[in-house]
Amino acid sequence: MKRQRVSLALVLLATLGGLIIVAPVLALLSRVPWSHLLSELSSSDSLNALRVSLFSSVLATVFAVVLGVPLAWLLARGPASITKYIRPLVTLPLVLPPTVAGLALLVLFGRNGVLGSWIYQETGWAMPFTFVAVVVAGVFVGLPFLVLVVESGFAQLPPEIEEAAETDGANPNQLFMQVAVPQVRGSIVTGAILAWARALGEFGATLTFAGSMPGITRTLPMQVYVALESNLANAYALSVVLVVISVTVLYVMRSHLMSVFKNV
Amino acid sequence: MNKKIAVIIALVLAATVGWQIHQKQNRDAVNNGISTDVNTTGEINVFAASSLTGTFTQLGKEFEASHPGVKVNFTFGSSSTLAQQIKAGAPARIFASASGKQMNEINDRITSPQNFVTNHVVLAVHSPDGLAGILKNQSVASILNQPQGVWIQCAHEAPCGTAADKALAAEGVTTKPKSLEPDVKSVVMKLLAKEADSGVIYQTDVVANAGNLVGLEFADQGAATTTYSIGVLDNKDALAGELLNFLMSRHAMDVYSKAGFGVPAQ
Repeated sequence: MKRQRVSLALVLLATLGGLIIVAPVLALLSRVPWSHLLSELSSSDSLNALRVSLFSSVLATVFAVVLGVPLAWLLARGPASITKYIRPLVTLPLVLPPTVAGLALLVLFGRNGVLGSWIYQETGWAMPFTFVAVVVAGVFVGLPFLVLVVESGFAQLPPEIEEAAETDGANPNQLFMQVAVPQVRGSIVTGAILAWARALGEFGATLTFAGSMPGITRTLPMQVYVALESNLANAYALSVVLVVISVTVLYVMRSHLMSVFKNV
Repeated sequence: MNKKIAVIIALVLAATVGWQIHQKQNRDAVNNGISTDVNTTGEINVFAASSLTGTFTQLGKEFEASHPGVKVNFTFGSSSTLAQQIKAGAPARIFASASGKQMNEINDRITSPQNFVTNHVVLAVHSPDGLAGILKNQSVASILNQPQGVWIQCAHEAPCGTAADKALAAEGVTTKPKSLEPDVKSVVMKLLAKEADSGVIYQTDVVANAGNLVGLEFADQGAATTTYSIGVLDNKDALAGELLNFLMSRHAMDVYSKAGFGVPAQ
């Protein structure tokens, strides 16, 4: 007989750990007004929030990929003496409280901001309270996920292929676009999905930086927060949408996620 | 190894259970009024609307100073959230809500609430040099209808937003707010960051930021006003009753008045 590898104590701890994650979400599902879920979700406030959230998070993901993959490449191939100082900075949004993140964005891009005041003087346009601000907040919080995952993808590439391409006369852009990037497609997809999920759930930074106007800047998480004051059924219904999206993404991505975490 | 883990689990569980029992004994002692000693000393939890943070914190310290052995713990938050928590059994002994609506939601728990102060929304604008003469003569509408201006208010669902909607209805405003913020704090924050030119906030918020903001009164003052309500959860709770009396005292009214609240005439 095989030697028993888990003890009762470990099973107990593991069960508690699992329950702390799953039980609150299950409890939430128990309150969802299933019978009139569709009518709750088809109210104009809900649809507006859904639209703002989907469009802004997808756009934020596109920008995160366009800016983040080159950043990941430089971090993976740049001189370690520099990258070791830059890498922690890239992950800053992961640990920054969202409200602080929003405040930082406001201080940079706001009408009175370091950069924003100049934009406002030149063009009369201010970023806060616009859809652009929602996207920028999404890029800010989502980018670290993409960079971390893609960098770990680049780091695992065997150097021989790049060396061979260089010997064959590939220039830096070709090396990046035609040799390196195609090999880390999986990592890019995983990173993009994580960044997207993070941007979709963002609340504090968006509220502080972009405000909360239905149809323009009010995202799903914000609509849930506002509905808590007045319409709990609506809050539960919208929460279930966020839960379903998140669970779907996590299950679809589970094999990719596993391989990423194994290599971190 | 296994033994160590088991010991740790046992300790954590024991600590948790022990703490709960300790809390319950405290509560029971208070609820049953076992001795007058327990009844008028110890910790007392007060749940109150966020807008009372400054005044209640000050009054709480004064009460503690004149009542050795008493510790007043405040939980400040949105009145509707606090009402939900009390409904779910949160150990509050006094509740002060920003309007009667939330108090009514728990009328099975607080049987005799009373009105105590009023607050009203104003249109707050920046004041680099105090209430400038120009602003004094301008109406709310003339400020809000400036095409380049950015103004914000609370969401319709939040109490400060409901008050703003009512007050704005009579003003003939043709522009729209740039944002419907979930609570008054985030309106104030954006005003102070100068990302908005004006915003509908409470008079008490204007007083708290007197160096930066001035408030323009709405024409319909009645619609702009909300009346606060306060009550104890247990009418036999002597310490809570004493604290409530202090929070309703003439001295307390002066404190509220200085902070911008409306208080009943003497």
